[in-house]
Amino acid sequence: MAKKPLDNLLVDGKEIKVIATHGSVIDEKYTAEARKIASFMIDKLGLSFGNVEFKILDNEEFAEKVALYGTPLPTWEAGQEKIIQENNMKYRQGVLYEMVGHKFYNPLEKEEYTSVYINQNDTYDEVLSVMAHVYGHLHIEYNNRLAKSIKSNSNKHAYYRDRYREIESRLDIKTVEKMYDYSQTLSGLIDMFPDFHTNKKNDYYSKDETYPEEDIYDVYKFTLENIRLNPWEKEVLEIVYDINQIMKGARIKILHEGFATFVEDKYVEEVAKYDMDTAFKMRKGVLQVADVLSPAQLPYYLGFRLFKDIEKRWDEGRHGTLYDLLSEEEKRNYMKKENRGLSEILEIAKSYTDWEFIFSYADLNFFKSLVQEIEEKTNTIIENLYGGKYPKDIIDMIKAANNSRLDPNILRFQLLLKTENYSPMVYVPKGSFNGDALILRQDLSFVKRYIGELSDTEKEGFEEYASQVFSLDNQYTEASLQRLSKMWKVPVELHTMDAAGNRLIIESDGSNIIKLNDGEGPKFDE
Amino acid sequence: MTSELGDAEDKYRRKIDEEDDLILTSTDIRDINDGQTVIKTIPVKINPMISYNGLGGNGEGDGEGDGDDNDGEGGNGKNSKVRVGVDQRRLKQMMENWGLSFSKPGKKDKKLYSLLTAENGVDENQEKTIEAMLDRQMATGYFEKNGFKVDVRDEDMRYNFIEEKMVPNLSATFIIMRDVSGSMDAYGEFSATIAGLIEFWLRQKYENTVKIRYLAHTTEAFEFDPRKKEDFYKLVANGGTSFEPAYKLVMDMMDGSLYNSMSPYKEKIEYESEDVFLLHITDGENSDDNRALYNTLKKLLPRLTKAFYLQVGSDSDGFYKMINSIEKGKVSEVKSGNNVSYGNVKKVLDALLN
Repeated sequence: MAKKPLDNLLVDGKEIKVIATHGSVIDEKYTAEARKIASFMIDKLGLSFGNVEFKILDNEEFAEKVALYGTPLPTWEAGQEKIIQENNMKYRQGVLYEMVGHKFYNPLEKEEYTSVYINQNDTYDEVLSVMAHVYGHLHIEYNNRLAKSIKSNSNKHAYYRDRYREIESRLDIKTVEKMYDYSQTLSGLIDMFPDFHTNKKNDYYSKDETYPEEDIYDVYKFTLENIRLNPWEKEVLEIVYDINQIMKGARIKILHEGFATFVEDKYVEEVAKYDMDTAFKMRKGVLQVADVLSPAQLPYYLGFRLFKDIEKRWDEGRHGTLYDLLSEEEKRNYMKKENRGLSEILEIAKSYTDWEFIFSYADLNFFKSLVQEIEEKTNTIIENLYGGKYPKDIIDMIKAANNSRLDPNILRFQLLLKTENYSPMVYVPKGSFNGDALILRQDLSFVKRYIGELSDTEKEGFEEYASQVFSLDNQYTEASLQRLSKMWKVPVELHTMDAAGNRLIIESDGSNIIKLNDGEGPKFDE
Repeated sequence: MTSELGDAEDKYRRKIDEEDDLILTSTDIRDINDGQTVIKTIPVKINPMISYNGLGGNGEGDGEGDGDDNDGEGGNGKNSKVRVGVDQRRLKQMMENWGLSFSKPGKKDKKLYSLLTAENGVDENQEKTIEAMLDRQMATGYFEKNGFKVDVRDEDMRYNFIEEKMVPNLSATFIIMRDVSGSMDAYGEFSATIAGLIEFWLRQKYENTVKIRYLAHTTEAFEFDPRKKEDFYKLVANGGTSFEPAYKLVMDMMDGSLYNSMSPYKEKIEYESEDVFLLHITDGENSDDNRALYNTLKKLLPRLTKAFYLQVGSDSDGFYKMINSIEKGKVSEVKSGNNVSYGNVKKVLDALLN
């Protein structure tokens, strides 16, 4: 490898800055390492990202940053989150190694930076692998279509905090907190899948006096526009609406973590060429989250395994229609050096979301080879390392699905829901609102998008299954409906189904819950 | 350090106080009194969202977790817990939330005023006064015309704010009297906790200016060594109930005569020169002859500044009626349930304050 000066990191011809800071001081050692890793990522793997600032923080600072990421307003919820994070680190339960924060604008340099937080209790080798891991996240943040559409900025959040405090100082804390709590409940009804709905709008001059004029999926926004609010209430709702747009990021969780672990693994391979010892220590970090027997961290595990599989298949040319036509014998002996693995992966990182990713790449062969690998490993000495501590349920789920020849689509749904990759799709049906009651209906029509048209017999089987997987959580749903009804000051009805698959209406008038086995049930057809 | 989140943590703590999540036992109170931090576990509060069984809902998640143990990962699971530390500062804050002020001045406080003067050289105030004068001259254009000229007017004058210093009265005795008879078995924990909270409050508010005496009685009565107060809190309910010996014991302590004590110090209560308060925690079931008790109380009550009668468990009002008939307004009665909760504690503390 030709020795290159490290002071120029060029991404698409534009120079980027990478620094590591400890408090207000620049940490020379870590900065040099970070730049070295960045140059590997850019030159060898073809990643691209913007300016980065690595901030090395202690436990308390780190806990605060984590709390600020999800709940940037100074509310009780943020306080609770901070205490939880601090506890986790103090008692060594779920230690965080790194976190990619929001972008922020540096007015002195007139540049946008992404802040990355690193725990100062990490060992030196851990910091190296964490940095490599983070560049994977940054690539997704800067390139993925969905990630780019979520615009979160620290400066904006700081402004929101100021506004929130000002509102709080003029009213009393309890009143504002109550509004905040309600808006958090409402946040579950932000439309996470705007690209799913293919509604035709009514003609502009339509004489229909229906309201709403089309199916409304963003119930939060609908609420904001249709209920009577004080100006400050409206402002709080708008602030929370804007902040919680990051929830859409849940749709690329597997992609995010899988890709980051994948590039981390690539960097470990690079280090192994000249420093076996460090590489071995770094490798441990990858194995902890993505070894074949450690699916506790499902997004890491699934993403990493799948990317490895894709890399292999596209490197060896084992994909495409012609390959599928071959017999088993021919497939085994098939070899065509294409070396297109990396470019395929970068394409996926650019424009896919988890659902598309899993449904188009995790095929039967992938699950089969996963099961094979699991079985090989469980029979060897490696099992002793885990001492039976690995989460059996997920492994059993994959195994059972493979053995019983379950529809792979169902396994895919199960895996996706296990990664908390989905918030329920609920909408206000067209023409349903007349001021007496708010009607909400569950939408399961996305199922068809992913598994295609079903025959009648298949449909029956599927609905039975879907009722188990997609039925609503009673406790939280009821509490949410109560809050919604208090905000709207009219009864709120939710048309859904129970765990047995029967149609169900849950109605709340703000103080009582009524359940009826009636109504339209969830929507299955588009 | 927590500049960005501000007082979010305090807000959370206020919320758990209001919703009565934090339950302290008498052991906790004793440990906190001794200066330790007690860690309590409470369930995580979640803003409900419409969600699937155990899935959906919160859409955040960053960073690697520890591979071995994932119970606390992310902290957003339904069954996760929060550990909250309670130390003296925090308990003080809690009690303030419960309506008990620590900043109210004492009954016999003397006020001391001190006024700072600027006799020795230029002080802060004179500097500020001249600055204010210059500001005024600049703003009105006087400075441009005439240049610098000393011309101090009333509106320029800057003074020190007068600071009040409170010196509390250094003589008060508070007697905590616990009924530990067999019938108090069910309320032992509660009465010990209340006693602990009151002791904590007194120590925080009056620091070392109030002497606390610990008394317990069944059919007999004892004083406990204040240095070994854990013995007092650990007492196990046993035996019959009689109030007479207990009040007789207080009388004896005031008269300086011999009395039952676990303490090597038999200090006389100087009821003539100091305030004496008495708190009696009992279920009110006196099994003895009331006549002797009546006579004792008739002598004792005039010597007390105020007495508090905290009745737990039963509803029998007889005893309270009797002591109230001796001297009206001297005794406050508090009725409460038998568990340590916000409402019950607040009732007791309200009575103490008023």
